[in-house]
Amino acid sequence: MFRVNVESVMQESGEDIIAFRGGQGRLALLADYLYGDEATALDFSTLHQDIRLSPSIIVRSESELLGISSPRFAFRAYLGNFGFVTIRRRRCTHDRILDLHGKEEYIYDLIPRSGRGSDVAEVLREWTEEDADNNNWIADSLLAIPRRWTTDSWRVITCNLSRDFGEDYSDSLVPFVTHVQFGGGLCAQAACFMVLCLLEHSKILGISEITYEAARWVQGASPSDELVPAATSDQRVNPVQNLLRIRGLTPTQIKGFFDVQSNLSAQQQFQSITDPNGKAKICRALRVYVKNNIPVIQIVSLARMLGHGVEAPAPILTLADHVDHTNYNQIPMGVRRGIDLSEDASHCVVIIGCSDTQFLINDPATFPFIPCTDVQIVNICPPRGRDDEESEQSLPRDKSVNRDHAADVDAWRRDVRLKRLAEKSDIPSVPKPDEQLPNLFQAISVTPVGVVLPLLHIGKQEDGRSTSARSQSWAEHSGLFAMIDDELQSGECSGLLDFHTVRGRSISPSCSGELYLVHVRKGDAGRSEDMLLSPHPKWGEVRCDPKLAVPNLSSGVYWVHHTRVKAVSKSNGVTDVQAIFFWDASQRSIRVRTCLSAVFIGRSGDWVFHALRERQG
Amino acid sequence: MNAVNRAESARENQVTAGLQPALISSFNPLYSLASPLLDRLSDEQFFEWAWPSGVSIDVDLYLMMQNDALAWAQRFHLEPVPKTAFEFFAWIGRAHNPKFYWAQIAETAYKNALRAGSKIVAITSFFPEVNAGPGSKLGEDAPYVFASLMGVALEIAELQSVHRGFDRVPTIQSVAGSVVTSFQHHVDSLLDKAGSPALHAKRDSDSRLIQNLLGNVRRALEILVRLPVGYSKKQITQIRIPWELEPGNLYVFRDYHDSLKSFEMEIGDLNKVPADVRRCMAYNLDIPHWCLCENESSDAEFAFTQSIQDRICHAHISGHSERGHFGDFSLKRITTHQQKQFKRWMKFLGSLKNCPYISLEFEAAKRMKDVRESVETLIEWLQEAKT
Repeated sequence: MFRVNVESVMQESGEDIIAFRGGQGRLALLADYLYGDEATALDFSTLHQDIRLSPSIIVRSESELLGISSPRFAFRAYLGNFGFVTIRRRRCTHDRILDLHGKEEYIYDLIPRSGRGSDVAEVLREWTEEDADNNNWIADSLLAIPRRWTTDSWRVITCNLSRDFGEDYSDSLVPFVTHVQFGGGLCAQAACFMVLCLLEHSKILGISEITYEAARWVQGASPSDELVPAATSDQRVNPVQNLLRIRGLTPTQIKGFFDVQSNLSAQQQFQSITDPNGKAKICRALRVYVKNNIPVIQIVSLARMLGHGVEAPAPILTLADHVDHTNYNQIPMGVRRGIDLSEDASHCVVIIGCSDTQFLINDPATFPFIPCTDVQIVNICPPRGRDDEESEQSLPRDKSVNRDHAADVDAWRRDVRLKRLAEKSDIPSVPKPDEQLPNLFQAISVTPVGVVLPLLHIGKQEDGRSTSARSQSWAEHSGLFAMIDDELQSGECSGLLDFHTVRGRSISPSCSGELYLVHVRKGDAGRSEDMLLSPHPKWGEVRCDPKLAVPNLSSGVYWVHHTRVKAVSKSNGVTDVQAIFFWDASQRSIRVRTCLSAVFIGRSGDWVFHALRERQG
Repeated sequence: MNAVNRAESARENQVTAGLQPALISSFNPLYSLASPLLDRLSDEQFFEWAWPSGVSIDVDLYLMMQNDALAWAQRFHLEPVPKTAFEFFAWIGRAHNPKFYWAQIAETAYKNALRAGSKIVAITSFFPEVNAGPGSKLGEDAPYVFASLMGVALEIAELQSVHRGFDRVPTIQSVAGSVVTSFQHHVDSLLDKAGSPALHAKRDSDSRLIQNLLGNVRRALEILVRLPVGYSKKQITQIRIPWELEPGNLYVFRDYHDSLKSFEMEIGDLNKVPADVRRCMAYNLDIPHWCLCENESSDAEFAFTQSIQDRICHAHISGHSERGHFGDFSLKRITTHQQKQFKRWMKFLGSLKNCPYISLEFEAAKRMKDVRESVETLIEWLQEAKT
């Protein structure tokens, strides 16, 4: 391997990577936290010898976003069989920014708020000399699941991206990246990147592309762009065209980003935890997602994760000077410096795993594989501000209202603030703690347009990769379906169904596809049709036996995906229909139907009968 | 057998006609050394570190890594010391006698290529700053950077013509840069919850940035013509700058739908673009990059106009993820689906009249073995295409 020398790493990424406070460097601390208690533990003293210069999708795209030409490459440190960590060349980035954009106001904005002082020159000096090292150092990395979370009781979502990274690991690994601090922190973009990696068929975009795509969604979907004040008429016409805000994304923008991807669909969900059963509902729903390989981005408060302002049994994160293998919530302080607790800003984490009693999260501000209990994961919701309350009330309940409009809470917030601004010529203040309302759980789950697609592709993938894994995965899922079925029968699943926030609206041809939980009543299934299915551009190949005679579906619970598929009916000629794909748990097979009466379960928990389409004749 | 003989003998089984293979010299990122092709290494060092021994193909010279630039700046005793490769080329482009510097760089690269039995058929650069407009520091430097790249290419052409009878000016692969040109505050920043001003990247329009590129190339050509002991018109007319598509929404040349059209429109504006500049403008078909941008229109190449086809004068290939811009890996590890895609594009390239070379791009390779097997795979595919 083409190794780099340690001096280069220290010079370009910071001395702290190799040696932190005269002891283990951040790299060794991370490895120790993750794999230090395993029998085949790494030799931490030699980790720095196994580093090479490598491409990095994250570093490259961050440079693209900041308008600088380098660094395009990063350092990649190998953790033996446990994967690799890509290390940002933080000082190169800062040097290039200073070279190219040395204007004070620009620099000022890149400095974390806690580091700002009145003397700009002094701040600049400190920033260039020290604060570069405050930026998170872990770029696009793939990590093995630590052994303690590989037992049967745990389910962790992984990806097969080793080849894409140019590496040779045979096992599925977990993606992890930390976010840069620029613009106040790009945690949402980092979370989106991890989710894209975890979804098997999606394009994977870098930070700049995610930021841009989210802005593009705002431009296209916001109902109130005309309210955005602009300095020039040019910007007024097209505000996103010329200016791209470098900052994190709101939950609605995160959802919007995934929705504009050609083969993805996101569900933004709210759940008040004042409901006595709310917490249990949330956790049950989250488990269903994770067990189905559906990653979830949860909106949290980093300060609350660290135990500030919550009465949880214990904080998710505590900072310590060392690694304690009896307490994996105790994060070694050397992981990262400069965590800003001065404000209780919203933050994003990705839920990547669960057991019956715990969850695992990847926190782009600190560490991968952070365990937390059901109580903890709910308690780290950010405080609900007045805007949340008002915006939730403003959400149209009318099922006929366009979903995007209804969910555009952020646009609504923006309108409110602008109106206040116009009225008071003042900036709205953040509610004081005693004014804060109870927490609001918010999460965005992301699925491919065809969540059953992997099954359709079994045995068809040309490189033969992971076919058996998929089969196994779906076999495992049948147990999950049985569990859901039991819950349905016992009437305990209202929380779960509530979480899906299915709105009883017509499925329009333009809908990009969603995952629905559907109960099919015995005898409601339609007749079998001779159909020829042509591929949908967003789906790739969809091959079903056109002569398949489908018996009536039995009563049960099915994961359903719908999409627009052009069907050629022998009797009626060409017509567009909604094709519905069922995973039949009892038969372990896929069925395709186009006409049936299905039962959707609405947000309120009531059963809403919704005739998808009754085909005539 | 000495190094040169060893290299020459390795060529026996290679492609002899049609689209020819080349290898970009930036595959070996030895951090303590400059790029081997630009350094003064002994034969043993050279073959140990610089070239996949046993396989010798023509070279696509990477000009240049930052460390190369710093090493050359030191060698030339430049003051003030340039910090980046961009500044280095701007510095020597402005020098009293820039040909002195260009000739030395060209000679070192030429001699090293000769040791490997290779010709330098192309130059690859990565200077996103070249799209800067007049009035800025970068915009003032950019024409001199272009002039230096052109100067080195012409010097290499001269050496190869005189000593090896190879009459071709290496093409100069360039990237068109990012659309993010500056940062500013916006009144929208008042919406920031904490009341602090927010950071906005200011995007310039594709059209303006392409016009900047064209303007900088025009000024670079003027610099070459004005040199006291310059180059002949015939030499200058052979210069080609193929623009490389970079996947990413914030690059100027980012797809072959919108931005390729923008390039064509701007280049084709007869009222604005002088003929000598228009002649320079070309495209580099980086196959993995183009595949990443290839969505539903899988037959894009057949929709290319004759003008676009004529402007494609170089190509890149590498093992690459289908899902994102992760970087290069071994060609042997691509999926069968990618193989089909790549071979289709190579067939298309073979049908073009102005595209004689396809370079294996392998930036920051993990190990020499990957590079070697990729070279072998590329040669195998090219041979297969001929049978």
